[in-house]
Amino acid sequence: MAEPRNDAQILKGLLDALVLQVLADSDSYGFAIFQTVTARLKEDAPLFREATLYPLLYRLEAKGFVDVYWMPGDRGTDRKYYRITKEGKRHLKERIQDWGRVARILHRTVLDDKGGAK
Amino acid sequence: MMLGKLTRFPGTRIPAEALSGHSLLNAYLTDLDSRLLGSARVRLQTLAEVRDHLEESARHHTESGLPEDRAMELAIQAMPGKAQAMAQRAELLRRFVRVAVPSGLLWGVSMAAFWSFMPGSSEILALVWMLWLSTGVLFGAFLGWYTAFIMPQRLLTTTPGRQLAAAPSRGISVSYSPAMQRLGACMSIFFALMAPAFLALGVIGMFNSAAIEVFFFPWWACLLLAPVLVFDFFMVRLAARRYEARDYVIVVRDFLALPLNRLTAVGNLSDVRRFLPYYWKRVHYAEFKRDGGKAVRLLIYPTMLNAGRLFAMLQQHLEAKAQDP
Repeated sequence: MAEPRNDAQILKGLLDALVLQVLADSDSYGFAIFQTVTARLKEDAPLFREATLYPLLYRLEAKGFVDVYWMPGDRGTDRKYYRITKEGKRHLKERIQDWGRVARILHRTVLDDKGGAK
Repeated sequence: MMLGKLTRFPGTRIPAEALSGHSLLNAYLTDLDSRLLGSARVRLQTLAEVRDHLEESARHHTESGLPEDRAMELAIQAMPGKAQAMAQRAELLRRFVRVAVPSGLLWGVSMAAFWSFMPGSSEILALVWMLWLSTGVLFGAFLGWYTAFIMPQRLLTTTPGRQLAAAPSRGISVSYSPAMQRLGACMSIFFALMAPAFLALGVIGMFNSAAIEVFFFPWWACLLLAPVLVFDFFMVRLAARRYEARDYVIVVRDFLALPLNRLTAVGNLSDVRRFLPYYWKRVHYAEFKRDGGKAVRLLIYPTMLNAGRLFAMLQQHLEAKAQDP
């Protein structure tokens, strides 16, 4: 199997947007976010590792894109929930527009209908 | 070594609330805790989150047929403690820099600039500059240290590990009351204006030393607001940290969750207590019957978050219960 080509910065931006998208649907906690994102990534799931989840969430929190609160989870122990902020929603919208533009350009210039090179 | 002691003060042992019933997980958490920085409460934030993640992950593996120990082993393998500790250190460092650099520079440079307008020889002025700059740096470093390593990220969140209750409590939101938020904004503006005001004062003082006294007066008057701020801060901590949830009334301060089906009475405090000062006449109460017949009276202060909504909710619930017992 060919090794996936992933520019670290592009991947970081993509994962940030994916996590924000999950939180835009509903507030969630670490493990649930991880599961939802890997489910959405399907065969690309190995791109997202559990070890990178919390640094990513801390980064989003530091930028003010997500907010946190604690409340009891279903096992009775306290659980940290993440909630997207207004700024996070705005950032996500901008990123989606950017990615959309990049995808359109790629499809017009580089990729064929099946996603391969023209 | 010294830095480690400074950044782990005041507790160096793993907080007991972070430990679970699983020996593998406890060993992992103890190792992780030894790599984390910050006070016990700051470290608890990371430990509680990682513990929750690993327990969930292990449960996921167990459900797919793996034995419990193997499931926990796999969960732990996917979450190397070193990476989590580095993430926590990076986050604390970010918080430290965010507070220490601007506050140190602001105080050090502005105070040094202020004193440089005062008459005196250049040697004394250089000394004054050095003194104030170093004071500013120390002040900033102290603020940064306290904010990042000692104080948990959010004062108004509950402490993880101390269970509120296994309540269906979606919808709890924690924040300052609007009045407190407005006061906080005013105080931020006030402190932000202080440094340039001191500079302006220095310039004015060059031409007219008597004017300094006139200009100082409003600033001292403003400083008298500090006790008000402190009072409000504690009022928010003590009174406004009570929230409503779907089926429970959560009293965060006392870490209690009072089930609505145990609600027996609501009313105004003046109904049950005589000779109340004015403020207390606006306080409502809700009474809950606990196990053993003992009653708990929850006070609903007018300053607390959603006080009106909470009281209305309790009243409605009681009325509905009276109609359909």
